[in-house]
Amino acid sequence: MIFTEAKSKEKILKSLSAFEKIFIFGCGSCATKCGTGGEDEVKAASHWLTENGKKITGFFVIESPCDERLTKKALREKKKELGQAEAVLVLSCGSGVQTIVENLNIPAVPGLDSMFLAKIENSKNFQEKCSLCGDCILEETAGLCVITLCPKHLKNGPCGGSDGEKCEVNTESECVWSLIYKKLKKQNKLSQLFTFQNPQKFSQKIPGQIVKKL
Amino acid sequence: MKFKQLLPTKKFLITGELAPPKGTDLEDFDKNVGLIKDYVDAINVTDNQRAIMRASSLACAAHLVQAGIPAIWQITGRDRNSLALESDILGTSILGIENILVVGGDYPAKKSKHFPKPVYELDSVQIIQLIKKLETGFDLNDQPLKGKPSFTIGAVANPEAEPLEIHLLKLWKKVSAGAQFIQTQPIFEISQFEKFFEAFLNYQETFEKNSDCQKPLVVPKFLVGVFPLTSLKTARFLHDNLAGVKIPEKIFTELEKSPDQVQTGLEAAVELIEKLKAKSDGVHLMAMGAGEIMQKILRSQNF
Repeated sequence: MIFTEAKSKEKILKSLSAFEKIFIFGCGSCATKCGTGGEDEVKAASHWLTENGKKITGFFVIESPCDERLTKKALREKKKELGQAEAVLVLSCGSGVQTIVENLNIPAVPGLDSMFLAKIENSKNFQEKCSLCGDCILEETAGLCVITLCPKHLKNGPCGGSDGEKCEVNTESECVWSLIYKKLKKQNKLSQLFTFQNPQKFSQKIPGQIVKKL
Repeated sequence: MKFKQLLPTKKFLITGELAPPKGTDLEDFDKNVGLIKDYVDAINVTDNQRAIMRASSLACAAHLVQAGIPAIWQITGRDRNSLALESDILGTSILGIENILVVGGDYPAKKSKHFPKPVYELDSVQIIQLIKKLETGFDLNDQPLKGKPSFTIGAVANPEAEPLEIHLLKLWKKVSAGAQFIQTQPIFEISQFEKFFEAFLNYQETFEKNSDCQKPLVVPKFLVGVFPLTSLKTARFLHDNLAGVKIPEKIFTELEKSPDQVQTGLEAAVELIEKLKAKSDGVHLMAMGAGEIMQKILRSQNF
């Protein structure tokens, strides 16, 4: 899932400073799971925005705002309340915000920062796992992503900056190469690490891709 | 004699490391160069070390070469994408720089006021492969070059890295890709290098057996890092800020007890270099710009 963090109230109020009447959208999927854009958060936003002089014309949690079909349906259902609003505050990832933007005539302000693709350990613990590199080699690195878990995305082995087995950058974590090494050694598959790895193929990752499958 | 010509000889090699200025004023840089140039076989010019901005290492290495001083240009994968790497490598050759030390690159400090976007498109193994490719007269797109460079290529090793085997594997990858000399992170006791080097040599067979490399591999020359700890403050700074550096606890104790920390640090460095003469191919002296300290150590030796 996409992990998001709430922007500060100061930042949101600054972004909404030109508007008085606000409609709030939330996300029933990822942003609900990490407690940034679900029912509770949307209601809380309604509350503190009202305390700061805003008029909330309505709020709604779209199951997945990034799904345009669901967003269009929500916009139809909430047409009257949206018609009274001057801007919308969207508590979802950037994909959700932009899907709403493309289907609405009034300004949309993001209330969250999209941070990373996460594994959910529990409701309070989220770990970044995938960088969407478009060139997955997980089967060659004991299932541990070096693009994500190594800050330097090293594909041929560790850097010399580790402190013992701790990562130079994320000093509380064990170096991912140390983890890969131990895992492959246990599995008697160290031979995999002798392969010379090529650089990541960035041609796969040119931004703004549109995929239309038949 | 060129650094390249010295490598295959039995001469105990000495290199010294200097950082470019943080600005355009070369006065201190030139002063330090003056203090050490007569005692070293080449001078390394660091490349935004610790991801802290300094003037271009390429420009300062060229400045040395223009003055007739052999330079080792340090290049990291942190700040340049593959296009910039190719371009700068060719530029380096045009400017007469003959030696390159390939470094992965320290990560920018999280607490920086301005956090620069780290690149790391190519790792150190891939950068060495890139240099070798350019030397054959072709770029990464297999396009022919009009004029090809030729370099003496170095790589870095950290004798204290763990788990040892995975670091040995990567070091042999760098050698297999084309590294001809290795400069290590600083050590403070001879045993730190001895056990590492023995393990490195012992691993050659395993590496050759398992990898798709040209055999037999040539063991590169090892220039062991020496950093004189002339004060407790310096020791603590290195310990806290230099990635991968391990200072044994007894060094701190000795410095704390010493009535003259500078003298203690100098003596320890000189003693270490003496021991390294029998155990390595050379020494790489680092002192964070303390040119006088470096000169004292270098003068005390009969290299």
